[in-house]
Amino acid sequence: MSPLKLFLQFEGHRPIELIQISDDAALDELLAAAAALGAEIEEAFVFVDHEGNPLNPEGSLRSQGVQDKARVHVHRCKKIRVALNYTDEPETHHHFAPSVTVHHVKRWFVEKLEMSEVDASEHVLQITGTTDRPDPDVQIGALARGCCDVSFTLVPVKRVEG
Amino acid sequence: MSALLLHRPDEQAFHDEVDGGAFQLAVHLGRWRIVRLAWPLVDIEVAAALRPGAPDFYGFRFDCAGYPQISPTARLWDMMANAPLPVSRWPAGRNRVPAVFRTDWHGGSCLYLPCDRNSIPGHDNWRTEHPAQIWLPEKGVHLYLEAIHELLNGSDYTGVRGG
Repeated sequence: MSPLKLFLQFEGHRPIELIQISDDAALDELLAAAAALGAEIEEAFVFVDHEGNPLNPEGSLRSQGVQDKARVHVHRCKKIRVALNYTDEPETHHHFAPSVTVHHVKRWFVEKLEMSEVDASEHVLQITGTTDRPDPDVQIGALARGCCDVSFTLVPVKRVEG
Repeated sequence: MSALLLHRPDEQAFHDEVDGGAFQLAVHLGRWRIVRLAWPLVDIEVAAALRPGAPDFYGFRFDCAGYPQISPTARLWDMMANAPLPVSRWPAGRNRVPAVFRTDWHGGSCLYLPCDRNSIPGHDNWRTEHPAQIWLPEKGVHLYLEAIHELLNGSDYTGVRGG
């Protein structure tokens, strides 16, 4: 048995929590740790890094290859339906695991738009209808509370002046 | 009777954030790292995209007095010399990067960013033009570091001025 430090986010919870748990812990123990931080865990799934499928609720963390400093995510949705908007382009939809980051979604979208690397680095994802630009490290499930949807608009980063 | 040496409230708040998941994840991913801490001064290196002749990291000295209710101010810092970074070694860019690393703004002693304590006064327009970069105590120094990291890892960043 050895301790794992894990970066945890969960449904609707944007802060990234750092938890310590034994590598032979069952998923129930990880869910209990998330519940103590406010997560809704009834019928919730546990995701690791960008893996599309949730962990098996029966196995231990170690038996399922969860490593120290891994990113884990607890969410009641198996997939998040992401709507993506950019200027006059028709809205695009795609399903991602809740543990996928905002950065990963942006990479997927700019590739779909066939945007150049230069242009892509001058744009960020903003939650549609707001001025809220989640950090690139945020897992998208943290932006979807009580639902399985999130909507982004790709917007240019403006030069600071004035 | 002995007395416990306690951190000042602002220093304790900073330590609490550094120990938190968002800051530690960024450290784990190699985005930034604390080099020195002599409160209220904190020296932090931020990773930059690879450019010919340019460093992998730039040093910054943050003054975090009053943290987190008062936003920090930061300047480019030479970690080896423990002195302000010479202008010839400042980051260069085409548009957004030079707009932030300005020698003509407070003598280069702070970054021209909405989250900088010394730059926000007189810039109420930034609250609507750059709301994502306005200081929020709950986001803390992560917000400032993320703004720098984004600049130094975008296509606008071209390398070092004297490179």
